[in-house]
Amino acid sequence: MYDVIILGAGPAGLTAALYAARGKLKSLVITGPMVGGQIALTYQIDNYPGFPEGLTGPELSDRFKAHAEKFGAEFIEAEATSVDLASNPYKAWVGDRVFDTSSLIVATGMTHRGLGVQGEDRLMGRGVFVCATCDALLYEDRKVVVVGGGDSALQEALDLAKFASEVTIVHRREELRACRCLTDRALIEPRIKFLYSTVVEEILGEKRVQGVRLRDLKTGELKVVDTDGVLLAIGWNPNTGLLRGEIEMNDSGYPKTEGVKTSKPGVFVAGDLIDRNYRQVVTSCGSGCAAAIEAIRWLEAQPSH
Amino acid sequence: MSILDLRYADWDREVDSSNTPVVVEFWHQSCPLCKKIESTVMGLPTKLGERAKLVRLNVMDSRENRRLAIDKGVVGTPTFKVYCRGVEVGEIVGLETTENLMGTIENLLKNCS
Repeated sequence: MYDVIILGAGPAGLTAALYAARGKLKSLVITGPMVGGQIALTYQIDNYPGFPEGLTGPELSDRFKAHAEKFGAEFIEAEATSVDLASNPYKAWVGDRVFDTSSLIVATGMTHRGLGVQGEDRLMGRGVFVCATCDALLYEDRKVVVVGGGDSALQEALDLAKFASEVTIVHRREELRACRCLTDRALIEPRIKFLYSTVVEEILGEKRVQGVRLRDLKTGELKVVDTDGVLLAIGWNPNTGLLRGEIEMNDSGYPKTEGVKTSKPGVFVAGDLIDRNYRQVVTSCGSGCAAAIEAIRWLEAQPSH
Repeated sequence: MSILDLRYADWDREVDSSNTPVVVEFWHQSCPLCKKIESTVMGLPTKLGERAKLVRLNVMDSRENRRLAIDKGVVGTPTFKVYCRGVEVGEIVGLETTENLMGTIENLLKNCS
């Protein structure tokens, strides 16, 4: 029986674990697919306070984890398969193993949104990709289509343009949503082209991406464009499938919250799931800390505690 | 057991001219999934035994290494390719469990006999 189970091991979950364990709660982190979460896929982090020389995402997440372990947090490096919040103690399953807990902190974060078009799943890792930092250098002298028009799409396009012969940004709207700081740079980069009011309808290729079928939303015209890669940067979906039916959520799949509190007593949320505004490592750490403090207060207020 | 860190110039000797089947991991140090799968990779030589040898090619190590990976059709890291006398018989792309990775490699090695 745990005092708190934390789902997710990004900056929010790991900070929650540190605070909960240091607050003498018997704490278990069920990490999900990757310790570090999104920062595990971030090469360089230059804006985490206290590290003026910068450090890599995996280094920072290793430090977060070691810090939580120092105070006694336990870890299971696996994905929770279901939760039951009908009555306390709450339950979390990892396969056929079940863990009881008095309180729960959900910090499961977000997953890249997919296009949901033909060819996407089949060619994932075979030319369809989500992380320019990881694979941009393998597109030297190749053509890449970047789907999206926000900050991440523009940043990824700029990273790719260092290697690729041609980067085409395909955006469904008439204007980019990214900040001026990025659009100004992208618009003068000769290797970056823009296709506005255009959507990808299919990703083509047998064993490798060879092209995309595009639709012009204004004219309805379909055309096939040759490309070696398709980078998806169309936003994120919340990882809250586990909580469906267990806590109140809005139509987009985000938990309804007041601060870090959910509709269910003793169940708290942290990280990107409650932050659609900033989504920085340091703000995620902040809400992870808040969730742990609320869990400690909630447990102290329980008669059985 | 140490794993050979392949360089561009070694390819012919270590892969094309090898009588033993070769598993090549294309990776780089800034690839988070490569870091994640590292412990699996380190255990592979023991599991492969005499049936195949494992070498790694760091695509960030030099422009030549990168060009070689691109020429071999690598578009993501980590990618594992299996070669029999220099001919590619298949690949595994991305993060896999040790069981899945070994299972697929075993199947691909059947094409070598």
